[in-house]
Amino acid sequence: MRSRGGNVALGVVFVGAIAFLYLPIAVLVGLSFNESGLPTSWGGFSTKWYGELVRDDEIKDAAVATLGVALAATVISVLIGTPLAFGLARLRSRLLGGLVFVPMIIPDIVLAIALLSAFNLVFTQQLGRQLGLWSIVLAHATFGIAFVAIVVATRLGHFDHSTVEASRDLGAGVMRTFLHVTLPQIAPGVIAGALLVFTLSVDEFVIAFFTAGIEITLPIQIYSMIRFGVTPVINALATVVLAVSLGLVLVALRLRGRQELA
Amino acid sequence: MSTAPDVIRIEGVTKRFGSVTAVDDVTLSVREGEFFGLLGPSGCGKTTLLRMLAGFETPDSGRLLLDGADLAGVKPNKRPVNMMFQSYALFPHMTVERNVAYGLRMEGVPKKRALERANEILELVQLPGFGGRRPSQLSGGQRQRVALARALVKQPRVLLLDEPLSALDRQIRGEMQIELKRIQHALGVTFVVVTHDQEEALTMADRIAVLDHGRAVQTGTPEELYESPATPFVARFLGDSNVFSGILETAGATTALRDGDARWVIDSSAAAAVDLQAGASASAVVRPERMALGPAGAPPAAENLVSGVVAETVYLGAARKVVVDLPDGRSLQVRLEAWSGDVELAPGDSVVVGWSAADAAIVPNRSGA
Repeated sequence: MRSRGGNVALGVVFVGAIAFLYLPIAVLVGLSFNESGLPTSWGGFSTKWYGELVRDDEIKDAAVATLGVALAATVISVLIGTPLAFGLARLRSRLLGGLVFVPMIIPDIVLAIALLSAFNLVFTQQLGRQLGLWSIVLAHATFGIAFVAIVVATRLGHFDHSTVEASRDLGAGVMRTFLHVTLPQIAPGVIAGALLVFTLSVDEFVIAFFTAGIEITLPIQIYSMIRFGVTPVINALATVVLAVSLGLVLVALRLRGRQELA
Repeated sequence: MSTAPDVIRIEGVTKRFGSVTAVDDVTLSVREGEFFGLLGPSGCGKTTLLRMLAGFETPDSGRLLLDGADLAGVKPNKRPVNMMFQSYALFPHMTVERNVAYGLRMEGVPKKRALERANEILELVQLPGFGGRRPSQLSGGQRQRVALARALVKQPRVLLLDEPLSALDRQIRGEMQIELKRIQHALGVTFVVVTHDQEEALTMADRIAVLDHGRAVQTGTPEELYESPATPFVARFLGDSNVFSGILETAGATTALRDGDARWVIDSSAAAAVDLQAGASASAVVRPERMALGPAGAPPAAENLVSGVVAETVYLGAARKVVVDLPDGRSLQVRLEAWSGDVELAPGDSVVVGWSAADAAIVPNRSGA
């Protein structure tokens, strides 16, 4: 039996840990609505910093670039990662499976340097092309493919391959079988993987910074703004990014929950 | 029934997977409207044969004919046969009626008509009103019926069933055996069912092909296989049996199998029927219910007698099974009807087991069989 004092101590630790985790975020969100714009004094609730955010063309351009990069990287990751998951499920090779997942656990800084050198070698020196948004897309796809593959492969673990044969047996060709039988069964995995890649790409800084050339994405923009101090606009921007990421992750979690039920 | 034309002809079909020959030069035919069983232990090639008929595997050599037309190169979705999968393979993301209607929809039948047909066939398999449910909301027996309905809805020339009852528990299995027969009679569709369960095959099939190591060992009606097995393997696989092996010899009017000191008298016409010459190795197969048993002092009236010790008796309700150990270490099975229970038997009792020449099926011992 736990003593009453033990329960109180546990409660204190719990509250402390939660505060440690969420206090900085709460402060950030709070300050983004602070009329005065000063971290030291509360000037009343206001959305004026969000107004400034919308009027800032540099931020708007960076946001558009970021969303474009994330979308392109997600599409590439899904188109390559999904067939990869099928191949892995069929081969059942631990070594090949491990190879696919390495980009997920490699430190970002290592991946960033490796990609920068590779891109410089191939594209800049051989083909004479400047790095830009397209190279960020390729860089984000390298880890994005791995994330889609692992999420879809989990889904395929529960996939009964004889449903494919049953569909063929009942008169459907290869394409119609994929559309009517295979895709609907793996769709929750594909969508969850896509949302994950999109979220990761939107707030990815290190790799984007290395492979961006002269282009600017939102995290790079924030980094350059923050060198002159944290402005209330940055707080507002961070709050928006937080809301979008949180929303996408919640959707992805819901889909994963549904796939476990199915 | 013997006049019905062949629907399927399998001619000298062989299929190898790497170094393993799964199906080895199999030739057999399935007749129109027949309930045909492919029976054998796991790994005997029966499922591979079924998958070749469905189009999921291609024979290395030989031909598969459906209504006289070669199936080579015909894709699974273009064959007028349907398969019921061992795992049922229901589409988990579709309702029951959409599962059943799937085959019709792929044929281009309009949605409304396809769903009507689906619900008709669901009534035939005794699942009326289940159309709106998901496969995950059904019991094992209900899923099995949905799989059956889905495979039957296109009225295939032949329905292929891969171990259809193996996932069901024993009680439902018995019901479904009779149910499958009923549906087959109602629709007149030819059924080819793969099973490793000899009782299931004997109950359901009009004719059975027994497969062993990829070879079709014997094809016949359940009675033919049970009463006159072609090899000791068939005898052992279909029902319990006692096998007495020896070298055929004839002395005067009697024909016998000599095994060292033992000499088993057999029916000379039975030996002639399977083309046995003197000096050939053969087995006499005697079913447990054809064996007689008496206490040591009062042997049963039979040509062939052998002494032994009761190892155990098993009460089976309508009958008793007695296992008798012989001095040479082998054991025999004797089945006694319950009403002949005037003999008290306990493990350790000395008994004499006997069998008559007329009750033995004579089987040539082929090498490897």
